[in-house]
Amino acid sequence: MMYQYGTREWDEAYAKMIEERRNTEQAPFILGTPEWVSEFEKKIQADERYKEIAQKWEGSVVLVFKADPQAGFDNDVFLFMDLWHGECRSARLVPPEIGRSGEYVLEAEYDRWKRILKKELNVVKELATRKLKLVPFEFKKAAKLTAAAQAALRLVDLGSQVGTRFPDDVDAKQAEAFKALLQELKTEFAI
Amino acid sequence: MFGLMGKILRVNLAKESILQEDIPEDMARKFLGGRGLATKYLFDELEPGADPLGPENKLIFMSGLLTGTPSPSASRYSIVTKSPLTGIWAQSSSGGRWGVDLKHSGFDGIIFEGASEKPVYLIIDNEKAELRDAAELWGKNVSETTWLLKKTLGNAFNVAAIGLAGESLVSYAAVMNDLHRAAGRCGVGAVMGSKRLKAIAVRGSKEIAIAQEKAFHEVAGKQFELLNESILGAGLEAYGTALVLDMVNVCGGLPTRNWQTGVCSFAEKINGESLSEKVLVSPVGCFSCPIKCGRNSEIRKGPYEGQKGEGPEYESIGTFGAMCDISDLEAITMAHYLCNDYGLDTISCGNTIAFTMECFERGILTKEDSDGLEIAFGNADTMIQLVHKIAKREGIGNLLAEGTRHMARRLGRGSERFAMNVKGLELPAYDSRGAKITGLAFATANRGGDHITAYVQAPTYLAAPFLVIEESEIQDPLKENPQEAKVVKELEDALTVFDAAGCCKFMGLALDADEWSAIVATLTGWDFGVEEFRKTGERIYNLERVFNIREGITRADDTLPKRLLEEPLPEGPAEGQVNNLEILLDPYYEFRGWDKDTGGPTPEKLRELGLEEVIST
Repeated sequence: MMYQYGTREWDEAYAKMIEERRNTEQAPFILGTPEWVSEFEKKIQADERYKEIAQKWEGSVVLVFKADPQAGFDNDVFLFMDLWHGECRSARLVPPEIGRSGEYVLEAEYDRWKRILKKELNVVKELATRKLKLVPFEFKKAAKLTAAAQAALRLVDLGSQVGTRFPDDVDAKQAEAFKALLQELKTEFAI
Repeated sequence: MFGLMGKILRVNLAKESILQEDIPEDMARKFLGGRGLATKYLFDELEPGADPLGPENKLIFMSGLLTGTPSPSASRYSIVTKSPLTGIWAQSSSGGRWGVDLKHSGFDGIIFEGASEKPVYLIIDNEKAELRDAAELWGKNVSETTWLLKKTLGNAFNVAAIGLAGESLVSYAAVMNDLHRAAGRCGVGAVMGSKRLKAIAVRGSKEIAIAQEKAFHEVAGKQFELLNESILGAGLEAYGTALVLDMVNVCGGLPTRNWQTGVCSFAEKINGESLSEKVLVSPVGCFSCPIKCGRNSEIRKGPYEGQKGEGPEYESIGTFGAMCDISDLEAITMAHYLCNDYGLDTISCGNTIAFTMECFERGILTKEDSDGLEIAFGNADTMIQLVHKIAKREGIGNLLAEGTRHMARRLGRGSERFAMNVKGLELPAYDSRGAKITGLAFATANRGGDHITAYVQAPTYLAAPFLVIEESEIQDPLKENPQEAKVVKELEDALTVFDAAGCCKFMGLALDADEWSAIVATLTGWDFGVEEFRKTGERIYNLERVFNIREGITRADDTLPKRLLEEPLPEGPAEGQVNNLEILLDPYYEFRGWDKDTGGPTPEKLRELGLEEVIST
């Protein structure tokens, strides 16, 4: 059954799925799974430093992991963060059309995201060198992103603190399970 | 010669003589233009121990190698001399258009020698140069001087001038060009005033020769494309350099109340957004710059309503605002406008006023010293009055006109602890206790307490790594990491090349060394790659250091005010922090190849850089 995004049914089913998976899946969670995103959401919500730095920020931020079949992502994956004045109201995987409608859509290759989270790459440098792109590029939004560089760094810090397994580093069985999960998310939630 | 015009003017103001000289090609190859070439001339021609305000000092204006060419932000020129504020090497650079027009007039630079008996100005009109009487200009500020010259000579002339501050020999007087652009630091305007040189008016239509035209335009075109989608560029155009204010404050590093704290409680009243709402008319850019970080502005309310100009920049907001505890953006803007018209460095001026406010707070100065003027933190009217007094050296302004180092020496009573300068040059609005590596950069910058020699504030406070060096990331800004001293060294060298090339250092945040080397190579036809780029910067930087060693600088001078070394920040994310400079200084000297005891480049280093001729200095 496919749930319609924006409905109570979608929200409830998504929350239920996370609760179940948090209890059954082995930690650390795999990047790109709903339970990993849920961990990330909790980290942001609990972080006083982020609240302080981001107190002026207004606008959803969507992280787009470009499709990378070798890593297990057959399609782009959209991580939607509803950020408002230092609060993270929610962080969830969403359908593509919802992801593309976010206010600040930041897109990069999966491998770049992986290396950012491992702190091998600097997220601001990635933006400056256009490896991480604001899509579409809009002058005013780019300006606001520049001004929020410290908040961006803090989010990356928090992401790197979430215990993480990367889908291209797991064993074959887990990789299959990951692909199956993404297929299920597509079928049931249009993610 | 490609890139450069290949000629300078040598103007002896005492003898009233003007000579044209060719620039030796090998000298251009080694030092490029701008800061590099000017430093080479100064080093070779100025005797150590010269009085900065005496006729023997040289005042050198020099456009960059790239200045005037269609590459991004190739607008800048440098002024190099011996500073009356610090007593050592001085370099100040400015954008706008004047440096471009100097080059189009047929000359890369001008060396002024001696001092005129009476006020004069220099006019250069398509290679024809002449000294003229400036009696009618003397006593006038920058705007009036510029207006009168354009009225007399024609609008096509571009003017660099000093205002009353330069005439009064204020130690941090600036040279202004294009009305609102400042060669602000180190008191270069006072040197100009000491020579009774009021202005330089230039006009020309000479072309700059490019060695590989097609390739050059391709490389430059690609750079413009990259910059058009640069988030840094977008941020700077939207908010101006004031973009930086919130970023610094959120890290607890915005010097407030003369550096008593790093947290400014009213930042939102004076930040980039506030500036946009309250005074911005439109963004404005230098020649060939796609970013337009300048602000055309107007004061729309309050006692200064109707005043117009450009700015304020981040530093003016930081020094007249947070440092003086003033939240009135209109008053800050007015102070900035006054500095532009008088020709005053806003960093030294605001910093000195903040120092004075603390002296009053502590009873070191009283109303008796200030002719009854109440000089307190937060008093915007007093701040404005002080700017006037400094420029004219009136009353207490005469003392403030000397800068914080001299003031502290005069006043004593512990004021040296909070006189926020290094080697006499007042520190800009970034507290190095909030980003420790910036303290090393303040301590080692060749012109004194300066942020844009290395601008390591970018990878720390702004979280913006430089692309022009391989690695500029600072792991933890609150920790002194000896390995990161290398970042300061590499940025100092790389950004020196920008000053020699005549380009804006912001470009180093958006474009890398390969791209810059390609621009230089296609312009000049030289075999100029990244290695050469780095070596050239290091060469120039080391020559400046030898100049300073020759003037008596030692390792002991590479230090910071006691407030930064011994007084922990009382609040904010950097609470409890001080600068532990010694952890970084030895590693810095090692990375530099300098003697750790003297702080001077070793003979081996000088040979490596092709500076054998200065080894015996």
